[in-house]
Amino acid sequence: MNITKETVEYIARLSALALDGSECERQRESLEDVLSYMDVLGCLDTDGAEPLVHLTDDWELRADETAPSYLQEQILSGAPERRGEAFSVPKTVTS
Amino acid sequence: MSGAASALTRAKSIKNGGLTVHGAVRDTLAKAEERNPQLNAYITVCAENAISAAESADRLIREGRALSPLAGVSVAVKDNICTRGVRTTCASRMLAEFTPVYSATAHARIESAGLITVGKANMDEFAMGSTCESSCFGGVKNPLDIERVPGGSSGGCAAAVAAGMADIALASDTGGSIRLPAAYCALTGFKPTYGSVSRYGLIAYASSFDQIGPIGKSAADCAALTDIIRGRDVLDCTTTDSHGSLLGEVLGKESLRGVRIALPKQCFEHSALAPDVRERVLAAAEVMKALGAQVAYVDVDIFDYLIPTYYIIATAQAASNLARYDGVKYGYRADDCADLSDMYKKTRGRGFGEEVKRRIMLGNFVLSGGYYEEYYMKALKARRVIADAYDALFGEYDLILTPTAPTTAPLQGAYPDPVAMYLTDIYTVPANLAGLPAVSFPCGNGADGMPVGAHVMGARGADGAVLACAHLCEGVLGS
Repeated sequence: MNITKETVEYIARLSALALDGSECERQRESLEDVLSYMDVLGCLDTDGAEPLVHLTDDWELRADETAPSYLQEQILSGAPERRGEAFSVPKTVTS
Repeated sequence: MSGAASALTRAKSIKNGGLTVHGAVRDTLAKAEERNPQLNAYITVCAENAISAAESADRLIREGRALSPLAGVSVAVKDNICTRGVRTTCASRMLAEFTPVYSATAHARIESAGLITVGKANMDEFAMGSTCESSCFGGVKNPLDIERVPGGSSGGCAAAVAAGMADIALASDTGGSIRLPAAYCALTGFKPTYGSVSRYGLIAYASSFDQIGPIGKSAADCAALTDIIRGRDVLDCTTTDSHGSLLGEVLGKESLRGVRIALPKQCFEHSALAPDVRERVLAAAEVMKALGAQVAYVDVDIFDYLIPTYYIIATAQAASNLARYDGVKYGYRADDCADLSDMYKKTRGRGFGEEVKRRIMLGNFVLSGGYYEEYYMKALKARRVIADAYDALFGEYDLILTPTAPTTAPLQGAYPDPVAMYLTDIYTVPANLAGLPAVSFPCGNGADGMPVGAHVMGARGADGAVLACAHLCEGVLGS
């Protein structure tokens, strides 16, 4: 599997990760190594196999009951930045 | 086994009045103060909370309240398990200052059972690693030889127990993260059947593999802790009801008569397996035979596909789970950001370490358009083939014996590239892929004097049989 610099930049964008130049190259090399190793999976016959997504089908949903929630102040206390009773983020829309 | 008393023995001394919880916890904290600077097993030592919880436990025990067979023992809690009011970092810059407002169900259960949390244990960042070298707080050293790694990702838990800084540990296992450190530190580590222990409050890595479990000095200790934490939890819909006592089942079994144990040929013939490790594990097979088991070699021809299948699915789930770290509601946020999109990228670029970023990238690659069918869907189908193969094997055998790891604990920095490190999980990932219970227990030392772990795996729900086998072998090998 050949991984180009452009592919790494595309995947970094999908992953919302800022990578500097040398990190981008290190990630490219290791992605290439790991994916080459994974290519062996192509030799396994999986025809007719149902994808296994969940290990259990014994789901039991909890009752839909009202219960106390966490206090707004508790939740906001972990925020890197807040304004009053809200989380605060940098400007999202420019004029 | 480590030389110090087991957690059950310690709890018995406390119950009989020979030892107070307060005294025992003080001794453990003193040991942590002495050893932690060198080993780096704990990220946070909870001295004040531990002393106060010990005093409460002493009071309840004096009143004759039967809390649990492990009441009063000191526990190390992996730092990806949420503890209300106590910093829970996942060994990542991203969560270095994160203090949860709730406790994981498993942690709440051990506290109700009278166990005392002495510290939050170091780990590979976000549980992604097999050596415990990727923590943003620095790597953990193996107490048996500080030049070597303790194994990962629950390396801090294992180092704490092996060095007497805790009696037992509450850890987590996504691909071997309980069993590998147990093997490298001469301890017993148990991954319960998927769904038997609630994952609520366990910071997610790969949700369909993650499982909380114990690392301790014996299989009986592990059974006692698992009894406390398992069972249905309305906050995790994958959990199932538990029946009976694992500890009772473990202590009640006197032999392995009638137990059929399979040794997969491919596991013992693998080129990465060190000859001295093979020899020790085959000696454990002889012990099982002497205990009455029928032992036979079997063919398992899916061996080459285990690691690729595991890492494709695990990284895909990780990419999705770790998308929540955006610097908005909690955790680290980068400064000097131009706008919201810039903030996401810089926060995640600086907040995550290199291995975590690699797994996020890999996960998003296998999920991306053009590669989804070839990698992710293929791996989900391969997982089915693998799970079916183990189901078929368990139609004819009760347990499967393999080594826990191909070698004894490697030196620090021994793995120059990710693939080399991923291969150390080759014997442990099947249990996560198929949701099976599995234990690692010590079965002697390799040529370098470091411990070797034997790995026993059972069918889904056969947690008691797996632990009983380890317990009986420990009785012979430890004497």
